[in-house]
Amino acid sequence: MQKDNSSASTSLLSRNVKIEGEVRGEENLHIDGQIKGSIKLDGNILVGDSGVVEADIEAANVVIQGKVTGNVLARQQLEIQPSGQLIGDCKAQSVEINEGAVFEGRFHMLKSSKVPSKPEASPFAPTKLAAAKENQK
Amino acid sequence: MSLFGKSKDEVEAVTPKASGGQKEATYFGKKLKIKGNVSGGGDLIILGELEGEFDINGKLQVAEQANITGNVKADHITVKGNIHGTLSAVEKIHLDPMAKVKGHLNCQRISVMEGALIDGEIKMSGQSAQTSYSSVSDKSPQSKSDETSEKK
Repeated sequence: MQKDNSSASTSLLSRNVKIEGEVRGEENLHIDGQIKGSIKLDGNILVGDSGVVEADIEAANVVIQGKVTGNVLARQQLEIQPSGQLIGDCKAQSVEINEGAVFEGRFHMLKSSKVPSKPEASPFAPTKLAAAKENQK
Repeated sequence: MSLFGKSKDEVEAVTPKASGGQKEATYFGKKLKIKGNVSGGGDLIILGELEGEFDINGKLQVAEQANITGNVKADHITVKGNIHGTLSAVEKIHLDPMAKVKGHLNCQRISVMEGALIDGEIKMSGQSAQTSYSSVSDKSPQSKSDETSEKK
């Protein structure tokens, strides 16, 4: 299931939309708007140019083009692009910080074998999950 | 978008302008679960779950699999999924055959398809709502009644 990221659909939070609270699930998320709270996804997160995130983030791959304030846990890779800004501590298996990017905080590299615990199983009941899988087929 | 590679056709169909473009629709996928408030402008499509409030200046589309617990405010609401809470639309509410709504509905106009389930109250807020069909064209929204317009 974990490796299934690429087949997950991508949710989009557009520019003028704001979420205050918790975001969870097995999706990729493209953030052009604002999120305050916490994000925990099985998929990937892209914080777009206009994205502003004040939240702790947990995801497989995290790409930052906008502004992020909070702690980031990328189970695989963290990338901060030239327009990106990250203020907070982060953990990732690998990292790419491009010239021009802003990063303030600590970085902890995860060992590849020791992937941290998944986000507490899945927020979905197993039955639902199975049903969702079947639907996809 | 390209960063994530194989996004489904489905996704692309619903979010036509995923990158660039001023009025792209926000899209919450099937497996996204949100607890909290969602506010802002622009159109929004939800397929997943939301526990909290929606306050949107734009169109909201609640897809078949979607589950919302909480109050929903938008200009225009189309429901195919489940909502438990108050629905307030500035303009119109549309309930599709698959819709299940438990709670109050406030709107100016409403359309309900056969098969939709409503458990609650409907309030048509605009005073002109009932007469609007005959006098909707030039009259102000607070047009008092049909009679005045007919005399003129």
